[in-house]
Amino acid sequence: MSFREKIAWIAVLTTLAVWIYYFAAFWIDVFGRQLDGNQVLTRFLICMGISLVVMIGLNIATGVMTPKNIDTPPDELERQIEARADRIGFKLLEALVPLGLIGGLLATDTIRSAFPADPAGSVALIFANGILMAFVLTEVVRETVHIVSFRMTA
Amino acid sequence: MAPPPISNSIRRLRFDHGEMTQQELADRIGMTRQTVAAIEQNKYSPSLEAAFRIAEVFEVEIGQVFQWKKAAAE
Repeated sequence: MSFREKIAWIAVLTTLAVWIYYFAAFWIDVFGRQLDGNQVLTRFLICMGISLVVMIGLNIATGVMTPKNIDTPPDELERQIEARADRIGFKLLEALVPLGLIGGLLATDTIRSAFPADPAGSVALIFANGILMAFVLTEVVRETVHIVSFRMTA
Repeated sequence: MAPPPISNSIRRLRFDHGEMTQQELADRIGMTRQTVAAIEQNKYSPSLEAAFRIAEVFEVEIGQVFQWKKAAAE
């Protein structure tokens, strides 16, 4: 398995583990009508911190095990795979962001009436997390394209 | 996805050059071992520049490394 494929596996597994927990907890709060901005922010910061520490730690560990690969620039196959992953990821993001925004705009009144204590804050939180979810999903798809492409040439 | 209509003799050329490893070839042409393995197994068609580099390592013409499979292409 190449160094860059290992990095892709680390990114996918870490992102899935951390952000599935985060979004599951967030949407459970939303559907349970118990949205607390401070709690969401704290959870977000913790998840972001864990994600960064785990990813950086594992990437460094992988690099130490194969030190030759750290400074090596990607070769032509790796650049091709990278470009394909970026292209697919960008197209997905292009589709998800407008879908999320339109869906969010259509659901604004429903959200406001569901959270009478803080309608504006709740709408903002749900919008922000919807956009964040689109970015996380895009990243998972991008890294999965890396893995699939590497496996197809292995 | 159908394999490219190109075959290659890299495995034999490596054998002829003192059982050169894929890693050694990869290091000499500035690629990863995985990419060399993909080229050798005909799962990836290298760029023209990489093809020339491989031929240069084995000190042969490019046509002795890569062969166009005419029938498969048609």
